[in-house]
Amino acid sequence: MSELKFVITGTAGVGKTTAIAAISDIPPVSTDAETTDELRELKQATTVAFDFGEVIVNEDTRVRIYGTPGQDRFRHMWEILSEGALGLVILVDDSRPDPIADLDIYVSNFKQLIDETGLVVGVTRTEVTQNQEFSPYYEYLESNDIFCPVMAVDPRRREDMADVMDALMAVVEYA
Amino acid sequence: MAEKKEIVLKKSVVVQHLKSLLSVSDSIYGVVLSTLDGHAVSSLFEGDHEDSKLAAMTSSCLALGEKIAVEVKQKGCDFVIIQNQDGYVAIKKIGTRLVVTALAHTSINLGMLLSSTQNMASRLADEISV
Repeated sequence: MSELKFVITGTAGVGKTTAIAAISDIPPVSTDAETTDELRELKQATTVAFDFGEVIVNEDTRVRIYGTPGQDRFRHMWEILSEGALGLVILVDDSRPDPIADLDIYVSNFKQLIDETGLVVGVTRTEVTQNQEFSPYYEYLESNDIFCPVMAVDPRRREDMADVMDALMAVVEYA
Repeated sequence: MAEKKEIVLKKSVVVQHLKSLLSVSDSIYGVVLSTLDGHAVSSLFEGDHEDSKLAAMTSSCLALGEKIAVEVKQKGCDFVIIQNQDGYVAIKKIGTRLVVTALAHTSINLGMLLSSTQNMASRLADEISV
């Protein structure tokens, strides 16, 4: 049995916990705490350690998926969860004021993992922005010497997350 | 949506409780009060420590402790003790929103550290009704 470890990161409220719950074949593990800061306007609880789910690809392969906390005060968890990971998904909320700046936070902090493994960028809430044009994302990534898929994703939809995972496995396989 | 209740903490009251824990033993050299989602509220240290990072880390640690307890069909984890070569870190949940973290050297009696931290947490919880 081979086990792959992937990490999902991105801003608080982007849908990491939801994405893992959507795709996991086991009951997901979440570590939430009640929000006490400005994030309360957005959601009542926030991840403080990690989310965990598992995807059974076939008899021989399982993908273990870890979701990070979004806020940078939990950077210690970003470092811990990156250990041994074989790929990274960054979810970016397209409806936020500056999604490229959001993406930059996670690209900068996970640069070593990205360089050593693979990356897929999932763009969320495009149903709100009606944006299907991801050139700014590609331009930002290329300016950082990163060449990876950028795809629209609804974290609530298992099919969307399965596409993201397939893309990441392909990136990692041919890296 | 569940009703949100603001906790108003008077700094002088919080500091008084932190000092009371520090005064229990010379071996206790740091106390941090933080929110369960990882924000430092107040801290007292002998020496140089960063309370904001510690607050976030204790939040993660307590959450992980809770999940491990659930995994082995236990529940109600509100105390995590980190024993190491240089001392102890005792993390105690206060009500549903706050956490107190006590740092101590190895010279302390562990039972004394735990009971003192528990007592301080109970007193503070009673006073601010969390």
